[in-house]
Amino acid sequence: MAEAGAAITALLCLAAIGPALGGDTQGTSAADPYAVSYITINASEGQASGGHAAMRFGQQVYHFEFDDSLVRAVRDDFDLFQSRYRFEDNRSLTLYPLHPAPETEQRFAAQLERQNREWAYLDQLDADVQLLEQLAQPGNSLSMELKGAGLFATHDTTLPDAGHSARHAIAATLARDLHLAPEQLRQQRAALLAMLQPYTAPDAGQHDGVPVHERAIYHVSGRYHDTLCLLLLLDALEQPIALRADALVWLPPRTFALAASQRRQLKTLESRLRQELRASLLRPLRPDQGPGLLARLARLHAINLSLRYNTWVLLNRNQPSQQKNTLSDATLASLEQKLLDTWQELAAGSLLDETDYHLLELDGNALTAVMNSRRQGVETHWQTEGLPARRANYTLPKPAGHNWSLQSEQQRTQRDDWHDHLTQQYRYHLLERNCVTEIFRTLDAPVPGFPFSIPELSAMALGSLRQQTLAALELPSYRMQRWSSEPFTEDPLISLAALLPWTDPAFAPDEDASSFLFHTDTLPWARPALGGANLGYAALDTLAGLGTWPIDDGQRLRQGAKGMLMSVPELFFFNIRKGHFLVAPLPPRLGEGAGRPPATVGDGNSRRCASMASEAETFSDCT
Amino acid sequence: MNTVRARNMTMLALPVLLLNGCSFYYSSESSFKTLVSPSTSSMSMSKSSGSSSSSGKHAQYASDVSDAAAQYARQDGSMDLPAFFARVSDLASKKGLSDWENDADTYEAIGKGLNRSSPDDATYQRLRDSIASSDVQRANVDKGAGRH
Repeated sequence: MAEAGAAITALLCLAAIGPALGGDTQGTSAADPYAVSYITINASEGQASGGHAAMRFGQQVYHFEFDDSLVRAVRDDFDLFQSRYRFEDNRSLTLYPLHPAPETEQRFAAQLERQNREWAYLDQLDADVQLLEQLAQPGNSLSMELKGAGLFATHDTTLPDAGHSARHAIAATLARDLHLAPEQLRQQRAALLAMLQPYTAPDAGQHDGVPVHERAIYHVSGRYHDTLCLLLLLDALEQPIALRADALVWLPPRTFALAASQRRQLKTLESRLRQELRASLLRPLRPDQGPGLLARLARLHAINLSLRYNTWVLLNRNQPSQQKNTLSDATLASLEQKLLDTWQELAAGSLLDETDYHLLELDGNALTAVMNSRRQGVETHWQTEGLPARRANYTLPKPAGHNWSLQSEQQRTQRDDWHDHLTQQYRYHLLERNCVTEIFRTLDAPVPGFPFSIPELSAMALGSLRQQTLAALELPSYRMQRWSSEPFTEDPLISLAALLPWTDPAFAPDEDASSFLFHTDTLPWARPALGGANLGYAALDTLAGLGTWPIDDGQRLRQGAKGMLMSVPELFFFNIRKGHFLVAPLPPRLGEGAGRPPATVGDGNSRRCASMASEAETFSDCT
Repeated sequence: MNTVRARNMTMLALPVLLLNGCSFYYSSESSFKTLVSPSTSSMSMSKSSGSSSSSGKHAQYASDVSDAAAQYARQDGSMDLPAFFARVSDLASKKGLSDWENDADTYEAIGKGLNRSSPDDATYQRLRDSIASSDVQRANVDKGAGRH
């Protein structure tokens, strides 16, 4: 569900926030008095029972989130932050304008970057350990998951399909047009294999005063991965290897047939990319070039298919899903139209370089994802993973003659030590290290004690940092905003419907949520009565959960018990439970009106793509 | 404002009900923002916006490459060249560039980063030559560094 939410948010922004923001995605209006603000976010079930806090600097929001008993620095775009917290999580934000020291934002940014480097270093150590452990195991072959390997129809990843011969013909033509002698490819291969040498673990201490995690290190796992990408590239040229059917998305030719000018531009781009690839393959290769050059070869395949079939054929970035789509067709239709408009704008422009092509690739994939969602009724997972997308295993003979066991052991010790160091440094503490205390520390302000370390009360501890001449600004939650535009009416049925979760198609209960009958966030005076009803409903659910325990593994019992717990504060006029909403309206920019139409998303399905590919390969050859 | 104050008072009255938690880690740049950023950038770079110039497209990428080059210059001796190349290749891959060595903007960004660390001329040239292997590449680095 979280992944779907991320995909949805991504496409939401793709379709709606992007154009709404126009080119002004980086800065914030100088006239915005809340551009530098301390933000408190009210409490919610499951997310933060004490609320949350953040710092806004224009379009950037820095905050510290709970992650598996740790507190980690995060930076989000302000619009996306609102989408997530205000609309998906239905929580109100309060902005307290500050006048901190000029270098404060840099301090937040520097802290985030330092933490990211520290955690990235742990990830790299972990990847190294996994590789070295595999090398240390008995056996003669090494298998590694490579980015981009899933694009190619290597013999161990797929069987030939209906369109394979046509794609194989493209691969053969491309390999021939690169004009590389077999001997040149053999020499490159030998040089690459020689690079798979024994590994020296990075010195864990300081080097020229720079701690190990601050140093850029080309770790053994990265070096192996990238070198193997190059070996796969050589395989793909020598054999040659075609792209897999599901590595491609085919835009329907009726709507997306190439115009004459587009054909010319694609041919020019293809020629340039091919010549540059040839030039690279004639020089000594560096491992770091591997993923990029592999992606370039795959792109050349796709461009050649586009030219042959006279429609847009792009590398596939969509992931299949079996989950049913929960979004309305009208929403998807609206999104599809917006994406189509954008695609047409992009495709009508000049295809000057690979970056232009990349943008088309992204938008074409998003469009395909939404179209598939509409037609198949399944959720989509649209990803913008860096090139080359689609992973698969690649196997080669293991480099012999090295004491991989010793190296593996050394690296494991180093990883474990670093992990312990980080968990000690960033461990969450109820009072001393949480989302509030870390902001105050970074602000260089006195760290508040209880109860002001509670996010919703923490603004009271801002002291002289607070800009006293400006009142705090409350940005209402999704439901509060709707409620203010559609207030309590004289029609009791309509009013009742507004209190029921199930009448809002955007409401998205999840299996961890508590059971309840009425929303209580919008009507403070009615909370005790509504909370009483919620308590009774949850109690009944709890009883029912005892009966269904053997069937649902206690899920209903947990939901009921949690529902009772969450209902108790409502008896005292206090609301914690906010609900979760998948279809979120766009956050209004500060100073703008609240009303913008909702927009949302879906994503792709590889089976559909495969069938489209087969279908498209029956088209006449246009070259 | 009154609403805010009233809520705060309610909070003070009910501390026993509160668990002082923070939001769960679900919106990191890696899992959330980066999912979105290419798309938003693609939209903001639509032709109608008139901002499809090469420099506009590479703004964030160029900034990241400059930072990497500045770090390389600062840590001369402790950061090896393959690590620098791997870093730039990774950044390029995330922006859809499959071969940054044919991208003039990348070399300009590198020049800008090297210059930011303000090495003397000899150090600058040594660092530049370690990165740029052709005259064209070196010229682009110089252009970015403002050392024509």
